Amino acid sequence: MRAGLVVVLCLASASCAGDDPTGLFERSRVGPVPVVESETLDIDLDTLADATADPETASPSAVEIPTDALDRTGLPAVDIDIRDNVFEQRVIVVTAGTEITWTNQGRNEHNVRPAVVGAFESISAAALAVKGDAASLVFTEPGDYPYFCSLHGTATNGQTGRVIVVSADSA
Amino acid sequence: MRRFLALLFVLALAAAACGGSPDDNTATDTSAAEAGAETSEPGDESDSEPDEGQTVDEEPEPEEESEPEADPNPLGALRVPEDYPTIQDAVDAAVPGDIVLIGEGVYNESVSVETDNIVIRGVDRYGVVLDGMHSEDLANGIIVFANGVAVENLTVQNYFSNGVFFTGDYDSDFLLEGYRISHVTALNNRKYGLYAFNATYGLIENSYAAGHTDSGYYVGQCQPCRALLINNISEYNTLAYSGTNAGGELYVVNNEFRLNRIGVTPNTLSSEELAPQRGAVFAGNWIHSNGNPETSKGGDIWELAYGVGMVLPGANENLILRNLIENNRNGGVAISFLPDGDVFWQATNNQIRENVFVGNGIDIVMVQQAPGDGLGNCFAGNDYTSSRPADVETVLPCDGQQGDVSDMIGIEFFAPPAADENIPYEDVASPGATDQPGMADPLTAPPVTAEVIPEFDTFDLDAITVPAGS
Repeated sequence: MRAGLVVVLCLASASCAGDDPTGLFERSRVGPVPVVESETLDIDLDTLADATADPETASPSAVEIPTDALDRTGLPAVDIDIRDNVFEQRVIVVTAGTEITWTNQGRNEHNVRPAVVGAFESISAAALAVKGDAASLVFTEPGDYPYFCSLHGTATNGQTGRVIVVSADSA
Repeated sequence: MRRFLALLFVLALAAAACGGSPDDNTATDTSAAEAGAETSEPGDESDSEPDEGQTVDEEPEPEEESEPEADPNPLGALRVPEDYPTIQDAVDAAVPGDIVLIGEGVYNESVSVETDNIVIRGVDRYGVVLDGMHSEDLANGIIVFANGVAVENLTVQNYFSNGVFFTGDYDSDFLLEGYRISHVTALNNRKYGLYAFNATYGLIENSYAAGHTDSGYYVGQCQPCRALLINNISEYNTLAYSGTNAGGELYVVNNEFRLNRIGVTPNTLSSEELAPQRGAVFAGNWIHSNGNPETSKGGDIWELAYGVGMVLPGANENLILRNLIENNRNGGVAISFLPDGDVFWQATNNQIRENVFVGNGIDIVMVQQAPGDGLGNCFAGNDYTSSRPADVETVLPCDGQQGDVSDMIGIEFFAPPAADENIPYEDVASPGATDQPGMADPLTAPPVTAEVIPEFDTFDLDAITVPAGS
């Protein structure tokens, strides 16, 4: 199975369209014009699923990779931007050993907690308190690592993310 | 809007949520008992009706009268702690239409709500306290991911992040629809007191917030918001109200925003979606005495607006109408750009009409955003004594040509306080917290969820008057 994955880079988000909600004003252009560019990546999802499987069981269905996952395999370091209140790169696929850095680009503080307690070390809100703060983790073992910001979500709702780690051999 | 206000009135009657005091609970118990007695009467009368031909002697002896027992749970509520040991347990067991009724006590929980159309109610606004103990493990008092949920008549305090938090999920296109916060007190939560994000069709009423490092009330990332904030008090916060990228059928009316570091700030930031902010109405509010140093210092960006009653950084197309803006340390209303990384969000096309300004540092301030250009912001019918540019209603009229605005002021107008004017949020006072009324009859008032989506249309601005103040 091959799927085309779209990476959207929102350089600025400025929705100026829409009717005057109060009916009191004449519309005019405000703020910057949105600039959006996109690129399409190809990724073999079956291969990635195989790569996350437990080598003992070698089950290809061990991890279901969503179609909107971003392929970041083969990169030594990967960035995840945090805005209010979302992990911009919500689901990423990386190679084991990749350093992942979360950077707060928002106004609120955020944290990173594993949805499965103990799956990896949490990043506290103190480390991502203000815009520009960044913190990194290295995932060395293949597997599925869902996570969330406990300030703006729970393990299953709200500000959630997911790192899917595949082995270097299969990436 | 008339229809919306009418609906709110109906809701208020149904919920009996206006006025009253915790002491009213006693009267409520009596009413419940009486209601139970009345229910049984018709059957009793019918049973005692003698059959034809029956003699009086044959009538059975009347049973000894006894007081009917009051139904301890007339609402059929999921009660905490009687039926469920924790609020979370009761919320998890609830189905749409249910009410979770929380008994008096202190609950060290962070409650997550994922069921639509339920009501979470405390039996006493002061006696039911959700307390986060400032622990990062207890981030929010109540976080709601579901539609149509109402939270009422309780206190949320000392949470690491927010008191009550209704949130949609932008990235998965879940826009929360329907929320209500009534008679809630939010104290000394680290970020926001009462918070609605990516949510629409909301009502926040008769609530109180103090001691937050950001805003007491926050409505963010919604367009249109279709929300009403009414009859609330915000004091001793960094910001009284903040609305980032929030507008569209958003009405902030008849609130008191006092003694905060900064007052009211509709604003634009690229950290959230739906920028720029546009199209909110702020009317009939009493915005006074802001510039209070006995507050917690928020982010540096807001320090620029310290002591201003209402600042519109990067805000657009808002209507500021018939507010009383009084005794704010540095300024009454300031219209300004907002520096946001590489972007300077301009404030455009705001209308400031028929407000009363008294005793502010400067009543009205236009920060220069573009040389010689008022960017469509205008002023009419205000009662004021000072402005920059001078005689602002003449040079920036709402009807007529723009005049000479070269006298606009620079960003240096704002005078940040000394660095030591900063109280840790845990220690910020909340002097007005003890004066807020609870629901009149929380034990018996029928639950009204927030699933009824009011139909917003044109706001009836004529019904809004300038508040009298003290």
